[in-house]
Amino acid sequence: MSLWAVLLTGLFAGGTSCAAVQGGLLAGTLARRHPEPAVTGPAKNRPQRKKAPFGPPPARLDDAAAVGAFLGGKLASHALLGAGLGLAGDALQIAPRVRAAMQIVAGLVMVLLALNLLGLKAVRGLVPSPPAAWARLVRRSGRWGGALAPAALGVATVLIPCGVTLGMMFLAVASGSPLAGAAVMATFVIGTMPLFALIGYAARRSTTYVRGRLGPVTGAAVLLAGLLSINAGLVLNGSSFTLAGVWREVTKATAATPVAAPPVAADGVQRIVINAHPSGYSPSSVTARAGVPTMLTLRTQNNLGCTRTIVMASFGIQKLLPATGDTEVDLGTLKPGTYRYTCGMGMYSGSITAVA
Amino acid sequence: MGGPDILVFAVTGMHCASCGLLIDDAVEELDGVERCQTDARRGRTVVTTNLAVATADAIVAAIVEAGYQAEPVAG
Repeated sequence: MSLWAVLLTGLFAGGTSCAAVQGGLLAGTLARRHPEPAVTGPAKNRPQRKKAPFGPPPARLDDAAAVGAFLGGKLASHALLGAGLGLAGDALQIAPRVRAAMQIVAGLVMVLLALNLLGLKAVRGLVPSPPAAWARLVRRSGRWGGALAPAALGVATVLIPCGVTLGMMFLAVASGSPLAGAAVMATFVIGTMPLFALIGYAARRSTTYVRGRLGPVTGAAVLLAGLLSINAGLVLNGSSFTLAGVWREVTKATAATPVAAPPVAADGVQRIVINAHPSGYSPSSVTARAGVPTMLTLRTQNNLGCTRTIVMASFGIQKLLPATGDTEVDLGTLKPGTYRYTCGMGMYSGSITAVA
Repeated sequence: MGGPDILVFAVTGMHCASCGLLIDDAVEELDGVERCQTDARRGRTVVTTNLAVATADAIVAAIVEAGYQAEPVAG
């Protein structure tokens, strides 16, 4: 799953959820800092409120700063968590196929979360939820009267992840690197920010209506993210049963014409060159001779994209290529068949077909 | 007479732990409510209250105002 997909998940699914719910928590914290004198027109037979936690936002510049502090705290804690989860994934990572399996498991867990959000009661008991003590800690951080309360609340939200955030946490583990894990979580939180700033704060009263109706919307988004994660795992695993493969079957589209097998050099070795561009691999489909020792050259030039990480599950190979340069990979003597490879995010792929 | 009353509500519409915190905040803002604890996964809110001040109807209204649906259930 690419960082773009993570960003969009944050923007549409996470943003709505965070804006409506965590925006309300932040509003309560701000209201405690600037209590209003009274609530006008309380309903009949209703007790007076001690304070007005969800009143209209007072026009204060320092409240805008507080929102910034909240989001900054949230970004920092989630990026740190992502780094930790990526590190855990790194420790667990044994081989590219294991990593692909982790990505598929992450997707399956997201599907489980989505079914719960969509109201399937049978899976409720299987869905992880944070301990009550963590929730109490979050509440305490929001009630702390100091100027740093919004930032503390933002940091503490890492303890109470929603379904979408949990899905991103699994992706961070599957990323298998502290940097990539931090990038996944940070990108997700950055994605939630625009809606949070627009809806969660400026119009927080109006979000009350949508709060209780977020389950299906969030569930649909998590389901989509889960399916994309499963697909990315299948791509990483070199499977031909992927969304792109199904799409090709449905549309009867023909795959790219494979580049002909390279000549065998005087030393008896065939040499294949594949260029890793930021937007994909070229040629994406290469034919090779089976039964001939094969050297693969992976060539990069000013490439800072995800294609720098290449996973060749069939060979148990995973390499981080330099931004510019050639990387030689000994593929040994190929048996007839198709060998798929992919970028580290499962986003771009290609294949080498060995023919007798 | 006696101590505070404990009421249990079935709440729907929650989708994460933050929803539970939001409900706890809203209910505890009511005079007469001593404590509110919401379990988002089970969809239950347990309120320790003085019924003479904060009635079940008032608590339901506060939860509804926070954006969720609630109804009292037997503890």
